[in-house]
Amino acid sequence: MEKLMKIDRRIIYIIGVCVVVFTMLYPIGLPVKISDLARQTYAAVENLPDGSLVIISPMYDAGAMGELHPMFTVFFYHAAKRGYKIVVVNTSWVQGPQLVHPIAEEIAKEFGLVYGEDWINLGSKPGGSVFLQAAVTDLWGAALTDYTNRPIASFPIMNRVPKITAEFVNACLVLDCGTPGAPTWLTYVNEPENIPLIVGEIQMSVPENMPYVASGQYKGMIAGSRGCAEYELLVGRPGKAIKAQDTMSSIALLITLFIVLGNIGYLTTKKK
Amino acid sequence: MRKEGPMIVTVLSSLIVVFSAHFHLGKQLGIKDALDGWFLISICIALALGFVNLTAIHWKAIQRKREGWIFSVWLMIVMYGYAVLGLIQSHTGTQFNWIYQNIQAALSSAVFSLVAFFISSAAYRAFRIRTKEATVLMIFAVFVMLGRAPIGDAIWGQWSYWVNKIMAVPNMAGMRGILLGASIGAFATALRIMLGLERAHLGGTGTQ
Repeated sequence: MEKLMKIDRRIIYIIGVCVVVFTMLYPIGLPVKISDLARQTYAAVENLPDGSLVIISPMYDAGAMGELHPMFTVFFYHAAKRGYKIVVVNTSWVQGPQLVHPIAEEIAKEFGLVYGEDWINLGSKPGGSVFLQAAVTDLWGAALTDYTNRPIASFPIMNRVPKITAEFVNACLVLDCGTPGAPTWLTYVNEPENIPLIVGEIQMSVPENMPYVASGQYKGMIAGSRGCAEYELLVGRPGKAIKAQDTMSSIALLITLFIVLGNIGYLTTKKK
Repeated sequence: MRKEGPMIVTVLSSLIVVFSAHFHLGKQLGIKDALDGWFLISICIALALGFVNLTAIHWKAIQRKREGWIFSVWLMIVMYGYAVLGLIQSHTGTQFNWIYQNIQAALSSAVFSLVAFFISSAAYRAFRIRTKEATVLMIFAVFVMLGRAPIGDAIWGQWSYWVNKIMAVPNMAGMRGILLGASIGAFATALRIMLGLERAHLGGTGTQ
């Protein structure tokens, strides 16, 4: 029984890999129940006025793209489906806009959106909170160029958004995995300018962001991969998050199993 | 003046920012906008400085053939090679972007995904029911973990409902306390820096 307490970590890793690969190759397809939070988040995006302009900010790098890429996909898809104008921009997380650009292009193509007219990628801008404060008073001056280094004044969509205020922007959809992130947007943009903020968080960041949802400062939140799977179902486009759910279930079960085994070993050894 | 100079700059800058952000006259003068511009330029200079610093450290390692110097060579090749490629093609260039999407992104993602395996092993070792508190912690951890995956609802239909309750009530209450404490702490630290009492950013022990 003592052996149960001292299982070699390499055995845990190997079993973990096998479980992940197996469930990816042979998904079980467990049903995903949709939570109230997912419905609230969906409604917050869905109920924006027709012809709205939304900012989608991928505040993350490659490390978090496993969880946040599906969220960007589903937010961009939903906004495109509703016919909103979309501005993609972030600050400090230099990889974000570059990583999401192919996804945005693909969805834009699907809906026949024209770059520079219906959507634009302004890229990543340095400065964090300072950039956000500058963008509130003068987005053109703060951003200067788009993702492809062309002056943003040359794009028709930018005539609609000279600065990030409630007059020009209907909502900000921020996906983050650290600092600066959604709370930074909330502090410098959304609270002062009274613009609805809807966020997507990696599972690890969900607990610390819950108070903002309860206080109504976030109009909605995609809570981790599970939350994204629920949103995918609501928007009618099952994607990578849904596919990941079986893997999440199996790895959660595996961890539980090891915890139980470890405790059986501990309790029996203790009694001796 | 090595310490007094930067301290005077810190105090003056912070007072100007407070004046510009919270007073009507300050907002009209727009001094903060100018300071924000300086800040953005400083970030770019810091990036260039980092580049030079990294080169200096690894160049020395190569010259002195320190342990693992071959990795320094590789770092220099990759850093300068990719920088030159970026300067030629810009970040939207085909090869530059291909390397970025297929090597950089894939490697970063792979490293982060290893966390799942470390957590599996760490949870196995850490969650032992040694005390009452540890038992409660373990029960809630397992309950929330299973409830955040579809398997929870497959076992019991109400599982995710109760997980959401746990997240929305006890978790949120705790997080609110932590957030309030951290915010008050940040405010106090900012005040200490402004008053010149906190000097960690100038080097040395940090407090007076």
